[in-house]
Amino acid sequence: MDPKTTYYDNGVTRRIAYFNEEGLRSNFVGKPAYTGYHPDGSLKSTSYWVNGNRHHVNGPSYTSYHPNGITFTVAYWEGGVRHRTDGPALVEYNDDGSLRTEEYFINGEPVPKSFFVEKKTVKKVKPSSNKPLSKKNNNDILNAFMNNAPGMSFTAKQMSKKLFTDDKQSYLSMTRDDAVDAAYRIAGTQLSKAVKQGIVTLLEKNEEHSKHIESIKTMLDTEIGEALVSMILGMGLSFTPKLTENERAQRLAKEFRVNGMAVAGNAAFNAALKEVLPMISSAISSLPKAEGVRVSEEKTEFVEETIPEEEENKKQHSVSV
Amino acid sequence: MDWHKLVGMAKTDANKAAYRIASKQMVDAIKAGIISMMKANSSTSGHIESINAILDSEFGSAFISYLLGTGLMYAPNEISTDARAMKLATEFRVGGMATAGNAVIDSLTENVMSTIMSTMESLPSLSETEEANARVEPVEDLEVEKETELKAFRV
Repeated sequence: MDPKTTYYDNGVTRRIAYFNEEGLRSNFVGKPAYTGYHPDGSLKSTSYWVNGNRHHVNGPSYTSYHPNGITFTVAYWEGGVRHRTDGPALVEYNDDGSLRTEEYFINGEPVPKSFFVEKKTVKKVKPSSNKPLSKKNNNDILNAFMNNAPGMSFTAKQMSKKLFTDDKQSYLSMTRDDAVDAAYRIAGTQLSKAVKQGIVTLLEKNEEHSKHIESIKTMLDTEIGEALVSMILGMGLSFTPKLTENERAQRLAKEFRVNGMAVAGNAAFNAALKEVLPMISSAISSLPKAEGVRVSEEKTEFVEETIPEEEENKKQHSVSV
Repeated sequence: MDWHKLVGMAKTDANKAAYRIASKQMVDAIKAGIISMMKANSSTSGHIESINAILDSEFGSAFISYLLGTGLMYAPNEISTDARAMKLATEFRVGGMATAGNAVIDSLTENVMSTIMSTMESLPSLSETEEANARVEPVEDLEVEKETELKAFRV
């Protein structure tokens, strides 16, 4: 997933956007799907998307800043709809830090503020700044920042705990995504193995044309055979009429195709390493040594001859100056 | 069949496959490097040999792969902000998980299948069962006949 980066005329990064394979906006390994910058390089906005939908569970999905660094908008989205259960889902501030608007949403539906006030006291929200924190009063600023966070009251220690928890959660979600990918990969490998075994068994039962069958069996038993079976399965699944709309089937089909290519590529690479490298090394060792030495001697002599000439020229130049 | 769609699909697949090949080859190379280094730098102690044996298995490959994938995530900023390095890191992690999963399934299939096969072999053959059934059938018939006779007598 390569980011699409655009720049201002002055060369400063304007925006970095990540897209998934279908071309939909999507976060990339915990990084926001979209990050915008002001012409002076300061942060303008960050937004989290998953497969084309605004989505962030552990914080605001969209945050933007005024050019002076004061927070402009804080918006919470989950699954493409505005949603927050412990405070306003949309908060906007003026560039002097004063509150402009505050709106409450649950699952995309607007709800009155009283709904929250009755359930839980929501503190008045003050904007935070995206200016870098100085080391001197780091804790004080962190305290101030977190005390002003909507509906929360944190100390610096609690914030560090929260950051650690967020990090842990993002690691867990990353691992979950990886596990899903790995599950599809395992399914692809095991299914193609099973299909290959099934074909071999079928061929073994058919006793006619034994020479052809033996050669096909031998070919299927190689990595290239495995790759071929995988590719055929992938292409077959991709164009099976009723399965083209099924996401899981298509993902499995992709897995088959990629697995086929990767297995064939690895086999080719290994064969190249096994066969070509010894040939190259033997070819190199069979080259005569003397020629190489003579060339280098000639070069050295040539260089040695030119140096005095250059020095003489320099001397003459310095004398004339 | 849309030709452009097919070409686009092949390109995307080839891109993914290239990362997969790169990660596999890198893991193999690093594994071979570690094993040869351990063999060169140490005497043939039991621990080293057992570590070598583990590394030489698919679980070793999976472990190295996952370790590389996680390590790349926490590499210095120049690497961790490079999208290609992150994609490779994901590939390492997923590859590690998949290798371990496949190894577990393969070993399970191998062991469980052999157990099932030995259990099946220990069961009486179908011909014996058929003979037993043949012996049972007349007895059942006799019982049925007796019941019908009794019913007829009652009536």
